[in-house]
Amino acid sequence: MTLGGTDWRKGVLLGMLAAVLFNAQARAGRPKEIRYIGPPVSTLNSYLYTGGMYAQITLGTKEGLVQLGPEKGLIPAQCERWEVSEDRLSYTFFLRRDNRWYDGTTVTARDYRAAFIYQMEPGRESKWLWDTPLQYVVKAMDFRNGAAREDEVGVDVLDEFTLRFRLARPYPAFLNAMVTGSMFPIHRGSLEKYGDAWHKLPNYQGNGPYRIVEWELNSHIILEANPRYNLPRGNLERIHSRFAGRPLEGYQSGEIDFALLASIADIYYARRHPELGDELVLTPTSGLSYVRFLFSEHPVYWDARVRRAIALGFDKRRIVESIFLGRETPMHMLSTPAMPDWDPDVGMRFNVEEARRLLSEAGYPGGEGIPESVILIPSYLAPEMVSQFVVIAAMLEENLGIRFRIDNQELGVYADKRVSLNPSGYTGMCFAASGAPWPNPIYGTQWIENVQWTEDPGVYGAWWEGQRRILQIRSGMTPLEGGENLEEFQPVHRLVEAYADSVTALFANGRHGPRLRRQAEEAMSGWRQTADEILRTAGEPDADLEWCWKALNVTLLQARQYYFQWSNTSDLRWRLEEMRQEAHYARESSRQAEINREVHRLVQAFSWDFPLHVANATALVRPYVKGLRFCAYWWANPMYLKWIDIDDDGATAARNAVVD
Amino acid sequence: MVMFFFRRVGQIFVSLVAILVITFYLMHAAPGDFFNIERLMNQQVTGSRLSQFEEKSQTLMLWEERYGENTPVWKQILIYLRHAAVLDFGPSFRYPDTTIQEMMKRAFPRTFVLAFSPMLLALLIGIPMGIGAALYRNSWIDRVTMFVSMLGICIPSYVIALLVIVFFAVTLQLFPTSGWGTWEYAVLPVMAMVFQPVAGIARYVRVSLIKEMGEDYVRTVFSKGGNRNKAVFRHALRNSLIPLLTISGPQFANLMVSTAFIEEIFNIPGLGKLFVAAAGTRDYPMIITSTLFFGFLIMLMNLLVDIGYALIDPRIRASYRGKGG
Repeated sequence: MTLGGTDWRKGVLLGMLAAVLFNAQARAGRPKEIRYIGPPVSTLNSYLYTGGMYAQITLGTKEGLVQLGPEKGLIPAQCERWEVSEDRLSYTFFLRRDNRWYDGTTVTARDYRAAFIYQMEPGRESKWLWDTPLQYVVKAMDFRNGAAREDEVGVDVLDEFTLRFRLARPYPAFLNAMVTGSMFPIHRGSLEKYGDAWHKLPNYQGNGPYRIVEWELNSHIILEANPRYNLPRGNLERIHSRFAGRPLEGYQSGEIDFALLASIADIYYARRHPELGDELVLTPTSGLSYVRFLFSEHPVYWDARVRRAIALGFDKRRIVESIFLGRETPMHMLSTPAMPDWDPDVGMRFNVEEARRLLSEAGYPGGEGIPESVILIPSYLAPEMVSQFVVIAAMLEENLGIRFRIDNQELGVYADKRVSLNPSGYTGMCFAASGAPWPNPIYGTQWIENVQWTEDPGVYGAWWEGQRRILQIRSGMTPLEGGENLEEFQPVHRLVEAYADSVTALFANGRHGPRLRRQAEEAMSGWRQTADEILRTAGEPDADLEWCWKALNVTLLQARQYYFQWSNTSDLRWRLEEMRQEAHYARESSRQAEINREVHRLVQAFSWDFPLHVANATALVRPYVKGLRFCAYWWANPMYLKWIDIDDDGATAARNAVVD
Repeated sequence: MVMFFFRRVGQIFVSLVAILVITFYLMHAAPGDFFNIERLMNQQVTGSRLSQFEEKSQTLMLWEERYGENTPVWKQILIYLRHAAVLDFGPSFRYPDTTIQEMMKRAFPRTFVLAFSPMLLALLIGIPMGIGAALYRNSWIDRVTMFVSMLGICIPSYVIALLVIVFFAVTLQLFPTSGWGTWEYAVLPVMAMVFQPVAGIARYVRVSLIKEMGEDYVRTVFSKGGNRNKAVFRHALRNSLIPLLTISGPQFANLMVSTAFIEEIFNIPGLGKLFVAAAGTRDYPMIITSTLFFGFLIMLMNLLVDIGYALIDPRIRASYRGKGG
């Protein structure tokens, strides 16, 4: 071989060919493996409730008592069956006796109880605790707040394989919510031995179909089949999930076996591709994009008619068809087909005449008098999401004469503006999105909060000021005067009691039912207890008086805010709150759905939110991957990977095709 | 020389404190905070609707445990410095169950490989290219070299990254599109990063060598009967490479910082990816540490360059001595 001739070029080509063949050979020798780009697992502690918690459920490092079924509904996982009491305040689970931890020890009811107590412990990270069903368990929140002992919490180990939950009040979504990572058991041995490091490798013990071989923060996780797993599963032996990457290119290069496509450009390319088009799979999800009106001192959007006019004033169908190419489906109600309360007949559809009539009725004919408004969006939005708001702004100007400008802000600024009461020069609406982690029988009642308790910006402003003051005192930004001696505590304590009495009187005026009254009484009792406790602590010899004074004042302000809010609450909101209670106590699921639909009808006319569209998970899946489903509830994460079967012949054929 | 070294180390320390103070104050002044962002993002995941007035999370408690509740910013800076002196940067907001130093320890080698490999390759490729262009000035070799180096300077590394992914990963299927692990994973990211430094070094060497070739001492070599190779490789090149040190140090620091783009594109769990995510989510502890780290790195590289100068060039050594060194 001489450098001057053409031989060196042949050498390079041969080298490249050898590398290709070597690469293909390496693929052909793989076990039954699935490789994909999945959501990041930022911790193996599933009780932390991070965004990646769904990834852990999908991967199957641990398994709880129940799981989502392939179709709608629940199926038993590590329990044989469950019983629900007549009053729906007690759920008893009969566990499987053959479920083992990685180390071979048996999973018992005590492991489940230990997990629940662990995450409810006072001071433990609680970021997403409110999303677990545990908050409905008797004395669970009291235990967390230090007001109850561990043995008072309503999780009972009846025997090694029987576990009972006692609820403080009925919660229709209790069973469905049990599919989350917070309801996984914990290996007590690891917890005792390693303490808070129980979830670090190699201390981690799971009971699911796969065991962790390797996990790298921000990079990937590799799992292999757990030989001790007790339930039926597919033939998948190994999982390799990367936490980021380029799905389309990865799929085309043969690196991954399925790819969730998020980018419209990728979807467009895949659809038109002669081979990839056949491997596209579309799954409707519950990922709802909607628009939320901003709180502003300007009164214009406090008028429900103006909000409704805007919701009716542009054509979502056109936007979805022309911009999203089918990745999204237009929505007219604040729910999705994946939810039990879904009703295609409920909702507000494009109707320019009605929108114009509403504007005129509100005193803004042809949009006159409405200041230039903003559509606030976070800077992380994909280009197509930004484009839709440009089109919405153009449609609203053309149809209703209202001018909107796009305010594309960095995430932190967006978050601040979205939750704040903005000055009167800044008004309009913002992008928002919501997912649902399980089919929620009371999904509609969640949107009640979006009908504000007041439509009066002045009243809201006064309440907001109170909230800001609480935050400032808590964070130390506003120093509190006084509190140097114990005598000053007594009048504040008496004021807390006075507010508690006032709230009781407010709820006893016959406007609302006993359930709402009971809820208010529980809140009152909480403040009384807290105030008493603070007073007692302040009286101790080495008490931190500064801390006690601050805590007592915050309690007082919270009681005052509660009273202020409920004494100014609109009749509509009272009614909706009653309906929420009714939905919780309804026995039949059909009745629950009926109440929820009624809530939707009432909410949509006054809501501060209106829906845009719901996402369809769009994925490329190799034909040899059988049994892969995408979950409607976990932002299109794949469902349990243990259901997957790898078709060996198909896989080999596909790999040979790569070599050819 | 020793005094010079200590004086520079002192300057680095003062500069780092200044960076720290500015970062702390800017961070507190910037709108938005980690907890609001987290709430909104997770509301999108879980659908829970919450007011912003929730109980304190353990993450915030950890911060307060470390810096104290309601502690003024100047005091927080001192506390930070005290911990940083023993390389204890505490937990990040985003990953509360692991420490920043632990994450950096794992991420640093990857970023180092990503920055060092292109630097080494750039020297190995860029210097011969520059020499060739200088020796065959205005020939086709010079023109091709300059054209290629102009492309290298003009095309951003992330564009090259996409091109190499399409060609080498998707079309030829030689290397993975993303990830980190065996050496194959490093090939495309290094390819994407190497063009710019190669171009810079080639142009620098060319200009420097052309200038040296016109100097009197080179003419003297020729007049004494020395051949071209001797004039170039024994005399002109050695002198022309000294200024190369000036750009190599900052170039390396620049590569360390600019790996963030490449790490994001190729999903490499390096420092850049960690730090970019921290900035987006207002992860204060991580932002402070990253700013400090990169500030320190750039100053360290400059210090090493200055020391290198002094070691190879007696005139510079003498000048340091003249300044009290």
